[in-house]
Amino acid sequence: MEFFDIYEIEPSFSISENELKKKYLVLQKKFHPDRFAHSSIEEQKTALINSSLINDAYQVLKDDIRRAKYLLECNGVEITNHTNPAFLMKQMEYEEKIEDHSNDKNQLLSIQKELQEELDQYKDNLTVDFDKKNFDRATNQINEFIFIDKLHLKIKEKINQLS
Amino acid sequence: MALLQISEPGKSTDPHNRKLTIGIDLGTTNSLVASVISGEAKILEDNNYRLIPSRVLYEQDQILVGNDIPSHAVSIINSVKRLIGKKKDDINANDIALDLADSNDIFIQTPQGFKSPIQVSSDILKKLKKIASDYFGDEIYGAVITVPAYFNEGQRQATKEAAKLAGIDVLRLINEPTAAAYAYGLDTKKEGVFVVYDLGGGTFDISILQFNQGVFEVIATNGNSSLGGDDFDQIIKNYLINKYQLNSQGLEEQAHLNLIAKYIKEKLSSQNIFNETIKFNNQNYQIDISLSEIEESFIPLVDKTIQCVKNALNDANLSIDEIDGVIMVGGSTRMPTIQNHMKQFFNQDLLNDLNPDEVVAIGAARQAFVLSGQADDDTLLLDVTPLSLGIETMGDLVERIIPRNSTIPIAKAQEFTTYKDGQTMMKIHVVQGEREKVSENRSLGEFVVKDIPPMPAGAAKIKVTFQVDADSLLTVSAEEQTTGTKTSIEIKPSYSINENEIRKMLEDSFTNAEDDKKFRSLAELIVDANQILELTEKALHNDQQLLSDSEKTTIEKCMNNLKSEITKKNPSKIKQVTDELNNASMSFAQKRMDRSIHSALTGKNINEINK
Repeated sequence: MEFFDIYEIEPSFSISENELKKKYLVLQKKFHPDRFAHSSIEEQKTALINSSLINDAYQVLKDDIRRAKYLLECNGVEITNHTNPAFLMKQMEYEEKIEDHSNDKNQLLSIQKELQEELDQYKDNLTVDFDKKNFDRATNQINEFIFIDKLHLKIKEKINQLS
Repeated sequence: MALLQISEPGKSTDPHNRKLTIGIDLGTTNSLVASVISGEAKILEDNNYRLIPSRVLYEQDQILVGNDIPSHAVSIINSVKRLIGKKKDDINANDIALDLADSNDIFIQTPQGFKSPIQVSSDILKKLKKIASDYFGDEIYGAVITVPAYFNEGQRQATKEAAKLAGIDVLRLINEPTAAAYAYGLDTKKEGVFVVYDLGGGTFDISILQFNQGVFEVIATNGNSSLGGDDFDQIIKNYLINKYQLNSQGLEEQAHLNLIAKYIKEKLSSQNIFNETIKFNNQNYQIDISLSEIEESFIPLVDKTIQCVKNALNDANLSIDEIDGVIMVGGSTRMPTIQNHMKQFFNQDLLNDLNPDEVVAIGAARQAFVLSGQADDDTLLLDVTPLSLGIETMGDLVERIIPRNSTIPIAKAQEFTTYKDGQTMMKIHVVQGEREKVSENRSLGEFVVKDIPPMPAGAAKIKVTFQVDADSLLTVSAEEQTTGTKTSIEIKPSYSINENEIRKMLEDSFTNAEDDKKFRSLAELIVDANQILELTEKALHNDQQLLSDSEKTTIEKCMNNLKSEITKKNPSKIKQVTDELNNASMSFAQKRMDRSIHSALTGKNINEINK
């Protein structure tokens, strides 16, 4: 839970992005190597290690998927890639839908909205799962979340290309 | 690992202990040096010139830089920034009108011998440092040097090496667009998301930054390190050659046309029609060019920059309407074609308040002042790596360890394992770039992890750690986890290793030349010695009655000495003994000569006597 400790945030899936960002800037202002450019070599090295760690922790904590995976890792849970058949069906349906409407911006926008709602639902589920330490379900939710997130990015790119 | 604790940096406010810091914009075409003076960043002038042309002239006994170079000089080294940290394979040799050494490393032939781009850059940096130390009448404590955001590892390392060679303590290398944004941000204090469109002489950068709570955070960067304002000059130049049927053969003509093209570009940045008489090749040409007739040829270049902008927006996950301001940097951004296209693309007015030629140096000077611990503000720059860093895995594939646009400094570790049973060594090949295949990325260097205990394939655990520091420079280390065997290298661009090699090669060729000369003189001495031996032998055979016994003994002794020295091949000895023989046989030769004359007087021909 080191990353959460650095930011003095309670380890949980739901965190305040604003608060994280604010703390990130405060920490970097204090520990960044630029603050020690005129200090001893030792202090410069220490600053490099500290600042790198602050960056790494921030990258993990601000990203929903990486934060969830990190929480599982800290709890000693191995992430498996098992996907249930019902979700496989859902995947295929989305893929087809996007393919069928690949030139129709309005349709794509409505699929995007649908996907966004799905993502929000997964986030809510993950919050509950981690609070209740239901790591099996959390693992399952993350796998599906990753897939929907990829689709969401893909559709966003398609929309950008059309506009 | 918890955060290590360090004390508050001490701020020296003692005026007697001032640290003179400078910001250097080391440009392709022009360079600038600036410093914070009484709290304000100012450009330091070189005899009233604010821009120092980034050109160097090597003469037998002196090195001239920038404005010191007379206008009629030829063999000037221009735009060396296009070459720094590169190999010959990376450049189009036809673009470079210079003599290059015959190797894949770039060396430019000058009257002072071969010069690497690092050496040429360091001579420019020396000049800039001198302008500053002359201005202050004091030593310079340290400098911030700007580099294009899209410079790769090799180009950054090379720039830092050039500074070292110039005796400059580099406080930080910072990215040019970041420096520009810093200057703007400190000026306006306006928070938000900014795009910096930086078209330098030879490089193009796009950076997207967020200014928030006194922190300038780069979100994404993109660019092209071989696209710049000079490319627009080339278009104008080619257009001129075609339209006016100019004879552009020869380096001097090319160089002159480059200057004319640049002049026309600058004129067409403030007026729609260029209409002047130009002297070229001792002939006057009436040049009439309108912006509209040439603008179309610029479009492919402008489109290239727009593609970079789109890539950066995509990486930043931002749309155009989320951009709060667009900062224009670089003299070439004054061109109306660029201004109009960008205004249209971003759908807003552009920020042109600060001089686009000077804004980078100003930002660098302010950053240098802050880094020296003398400034009272606590603003901070957070920059990113422009290109992904990774290592080669099986099958020519790249495993990315640090993705592009990661905030620096950053450390990342990843474990790798062995491919074969009993494998005891592993090669770590570090690459930079966005392509999947190793061969399509830039190779930064390789090292070998040795002494891996023999284990079945896949059992060994090799932890490879990438550390990118605040200058965006990389150190890679590897550790075998079961034994703790550590190997680490600071990634030096491969040119650097080869630069030493080529230097050695060049030196070797000089040493060899010396050897060659020595060898040649030995051979010549032996030929001379054998000749005199042969002549003396013949003379002895024919005329030994002319010599006393002691004379004869001396000559024979000298001959034997010489014969033995010839086999020992010591040039100086051979020469010495040859001379001795010459001396010893002098009187012998004299006597034979006398006799010859005598014989001649008795009516016999000299040839007959000598038979």
